[in-house]
Amino acid sequence: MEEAAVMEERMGLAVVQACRALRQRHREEEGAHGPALAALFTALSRPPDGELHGKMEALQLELSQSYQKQSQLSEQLLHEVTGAQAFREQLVERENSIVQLQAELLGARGRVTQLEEELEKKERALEASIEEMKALRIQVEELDAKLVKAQAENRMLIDRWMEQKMKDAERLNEANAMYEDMMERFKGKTLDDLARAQVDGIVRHSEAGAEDYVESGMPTSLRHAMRAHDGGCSTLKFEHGGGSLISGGHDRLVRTWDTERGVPLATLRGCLGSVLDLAMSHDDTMVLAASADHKLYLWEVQSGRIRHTLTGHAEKVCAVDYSKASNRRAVSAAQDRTIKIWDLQTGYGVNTIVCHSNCNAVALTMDGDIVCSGHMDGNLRLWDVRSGKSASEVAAHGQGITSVSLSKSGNAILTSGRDNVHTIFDVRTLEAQASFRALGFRVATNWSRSCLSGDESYVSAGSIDGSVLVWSRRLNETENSLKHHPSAVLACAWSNVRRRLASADKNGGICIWE
Amino acid sequence: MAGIWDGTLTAAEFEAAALHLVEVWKSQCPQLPAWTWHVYEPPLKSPVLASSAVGYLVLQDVHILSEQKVVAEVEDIHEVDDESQDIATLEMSPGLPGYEEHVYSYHVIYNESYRVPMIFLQGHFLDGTPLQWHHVCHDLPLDSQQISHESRWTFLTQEEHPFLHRPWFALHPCGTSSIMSLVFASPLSNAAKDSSNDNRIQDTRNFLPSSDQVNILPSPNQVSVLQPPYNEISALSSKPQKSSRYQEKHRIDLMKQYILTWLSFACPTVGLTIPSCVFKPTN
Amino acid sequence: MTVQARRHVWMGAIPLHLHLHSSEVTSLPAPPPFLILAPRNGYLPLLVDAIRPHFNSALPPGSDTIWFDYQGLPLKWNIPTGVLFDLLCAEPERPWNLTVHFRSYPAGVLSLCEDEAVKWNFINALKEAFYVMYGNTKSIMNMSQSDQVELWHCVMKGDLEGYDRLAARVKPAFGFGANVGRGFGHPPSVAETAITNPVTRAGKPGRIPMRMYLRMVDQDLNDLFDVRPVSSWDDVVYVTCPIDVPKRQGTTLTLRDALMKVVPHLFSSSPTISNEVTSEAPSVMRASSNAVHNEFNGIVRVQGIEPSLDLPLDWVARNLCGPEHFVHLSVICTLVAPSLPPGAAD
Repeated sequence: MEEAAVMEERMGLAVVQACRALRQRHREEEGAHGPALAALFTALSRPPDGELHGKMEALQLELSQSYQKQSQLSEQLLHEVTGAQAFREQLVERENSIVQLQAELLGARGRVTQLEEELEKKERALEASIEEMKALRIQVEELDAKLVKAQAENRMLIDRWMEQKMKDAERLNEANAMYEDMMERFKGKTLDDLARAQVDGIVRHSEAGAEDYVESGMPTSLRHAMRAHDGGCSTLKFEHGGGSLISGGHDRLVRTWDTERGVPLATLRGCLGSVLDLAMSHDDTMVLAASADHKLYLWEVQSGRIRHTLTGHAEKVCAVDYSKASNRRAVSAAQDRTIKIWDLQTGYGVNTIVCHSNCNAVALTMDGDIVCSGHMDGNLRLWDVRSGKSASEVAAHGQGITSVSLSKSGNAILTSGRDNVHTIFDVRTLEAQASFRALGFRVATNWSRSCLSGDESYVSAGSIDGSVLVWSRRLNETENSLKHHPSAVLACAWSNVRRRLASADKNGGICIWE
Repeated sequence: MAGIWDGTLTAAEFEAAALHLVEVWKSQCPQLPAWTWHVYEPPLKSPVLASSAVGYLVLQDVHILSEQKVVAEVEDIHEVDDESQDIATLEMSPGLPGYEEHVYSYHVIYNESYRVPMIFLQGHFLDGTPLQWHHVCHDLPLDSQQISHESRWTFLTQEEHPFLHRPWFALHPCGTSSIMSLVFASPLSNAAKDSSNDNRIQDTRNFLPSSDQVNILPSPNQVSVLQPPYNEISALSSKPQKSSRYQEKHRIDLMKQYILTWLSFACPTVGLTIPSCVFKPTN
Repeated sequence: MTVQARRHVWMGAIPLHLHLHSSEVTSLPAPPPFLILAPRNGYLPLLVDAIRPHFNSALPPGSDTIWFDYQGLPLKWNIPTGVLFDLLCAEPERPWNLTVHFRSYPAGVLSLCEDEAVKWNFINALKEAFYVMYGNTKSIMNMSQSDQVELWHCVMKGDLEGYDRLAARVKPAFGFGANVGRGFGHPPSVAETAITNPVTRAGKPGRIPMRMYLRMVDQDLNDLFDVRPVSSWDDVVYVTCPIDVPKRQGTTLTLRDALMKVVPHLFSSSPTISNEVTSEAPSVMRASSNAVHNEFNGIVRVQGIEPSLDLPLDWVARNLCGPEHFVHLSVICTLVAPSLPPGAAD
């Protein structure tokens, strides 16, 4: 039990201790702080002093009001200041612009005075030139009057001169007529055509022709032999008025020759195919070539320039002839069975004649209105140039015609055919006047050209064996056979001026006989 | 004098029952989210009390679909300030309009004062925002909701989690012991003389409510009126001197069922499902 | 003397020195701190009506829920103010400097405090205490609503007489007017024992409802001026540990015994004592009390005092409890590695 008592005593002590501790705590905590807090609260919660409070409130109100006013005023101030600033800037700008404008004005005035000065000068100059012009006009009028007078005089003089000339001509004519009569009467066989040219009052070539008239004789010897072309030479023509010879060959060249010395004079280039036929204008200024490239080329002999290239044929152009009346007309025939008539001024074809048989050779009559064509069917046809219609036709040969050439007088046509016969026809009546053949003579090609001499007394043609045969018309027999060509002779031509004969062969060589 | 078992259990019995539950659960329904026994490990520096219970049961991450259509008006009053919290605009479960997914965790913890297990629960939305009292209340089965509305402060309360020291929601344990004493009472007394363990346990099972029964938790007021009848456990406990080894073992076995039994009516109250297969006797 | 002691307990109040948290001050100048006496056995949120008007002018707009923090630690409102003070202030500072908040309630740490949460917390605690003492909560359940409300009001107002009156109505042994006359030194009579040692109908002895709050510091317990304040509630262990009262008469438990049961490791070389006192012979009890007084490495505070460990437990339970009948013990101990003696945990 002692332990229990000790325990109890201890516990009792603990209890007392606890109570004391609680009292202590009470004193420290709520005992001390409670009244203090309470006092604090009452102090805080006492209604604030009315008067002081009121004064304070009023003062606060005033303060806030004055603050407001101040803020308003400062706003206004700001506003004004910005406005003033803006105005100042504007002012500065305006001043600047004024200065600028003044400067411009000055400049403008200066220019104005300048312009005025120039204007005065120009006006003065203008007046001066007007004066000049008036003076010149007067001069012009005077000169005009003089001109008129001079022209009148001129006409008068010309008329007088013409009269003189005519008179001379008449006298000459008379003399000629008398001479002719004499000659005719004297000879009675040779004809000389002096009236070939058109007589328009001006006598041109008839004079030349009259002085150079030479009787053609039989050529006997070889004068020149020239290598003319590479390949064959298939066409030869003599100048109408001179001694030059033109030749066209398979080498596409057209060459002019001086037959006196036997040297080449010029070469006309431009052909694109073999030259098959040549024709010369009657005044010897233009050369027309028919070429295998379906075209015809027209050269000016003097310059050697090509004047025109005539196109239109569809096949090889194998024959061409120039009009003896004017430089404008030519006729060509091609393998396309057409005959075309050309206007050489413009270079265009005027007419086309279609025939059912190929034409191998053409010739224009002296007046240039009729075309004579020789065809493969052996017919010789005459066509009217303007209308293109057939005028007449005659069966000339049993086989194809290879050559048609007109006499210098224009009355006779010489045709050659593959039947190796040469026939002369009268143009008007188309009657066969003579025919020539020879033994061993054979035409070389379809286009072998034969030729009639200028006085219509000799006929020459080349043979396949290389000899050139000459027939005399008077005697109607083979007069001569000239041998030099190594191969077939394709063409020959009589010179109108001298007694020469030219011939060309298949190798391209040309022989000049005299 | 015959003692009456008052439906409580000691901390050791709690632990035993909890481990038994974990085992049974694992074997019977492994496909369901599992209850695990967490041993409480205090952080190193904090003090340790000798008598504190050693651990607690944890069920984590239970997804519950919560219907949101009806209660919208009530919620709005609380959520006036925070538009983004408005229930109607929260993330919906895909494909289920009008439903939201809440994620809950449940802890079963031994309460020293009442000497019964207590169920603590905590939930959050899918985005992690914690659930408020009214959300949790709304997720409870209807009967529970009614009770919680009637007894606002005595049914589902916010308490300090004894181990985690955070505010969690908890079911107030004041009625638990009475019910448990009721439940373990029985026709058991008749079978006390029978020496077969299995029968007894089977009868126990017969007596237990199945999971289909909705809430059988009577209101607290009613419980106090009931007299705990004679039951075998109290009979056993009042005669410790005469308890044979067999009876002692029997009592221990029975106590192992304590938590399971308790869960069978606690879970429906909270809306947790508990499959009846866990109540099968393990042979 | 006991009566006065009880009155001191009931009237205990702590002076609080509150200032509004700087993040919530919206007026210039900042409002001055507020001084108020907070009842020890009350709860902090109950003071809101007195505190709010003082700070109202300075608060930002919005709704407000009051909460307090001491040196950064939000204070849990379901712990009575006195307990908080005893626990968190190692050296009691009077007045106690607290920061009051009206916004951003830390819902992760503190449970929601709305409407009548405080009242119901009190009522539930009262129920729990009753259960612990008597094994059932019939007495509380049988109280009418109006009685409950009035009881609560008495608690709030600090009206001891009213409280005692109401309590006596509920249950004769409830409340301690019956013990006023008990002096000291009488061996407890059977009747008194019956009263003071309530026993459940099941024959199991009642228990004493107790809550212990344990805090560790790393300083010598005699010199606590510079101790580091508690930074998180994880550093405090608090448990509800009902203490079993021995059925047998003649044995009284002391505070020391209670402590030994709960925190035996804080005693140096403490013998083990099992919980099942009922099966032990009284001799064992005597033996423990006879043993050399083991040193307790800690400070125990109840209601602001540091009692001797020889205080009889039932005196403590009757006089030093709060209005909800719980005894709150605040214990501060040094950082001793807790080594649970084998078998201490049951």
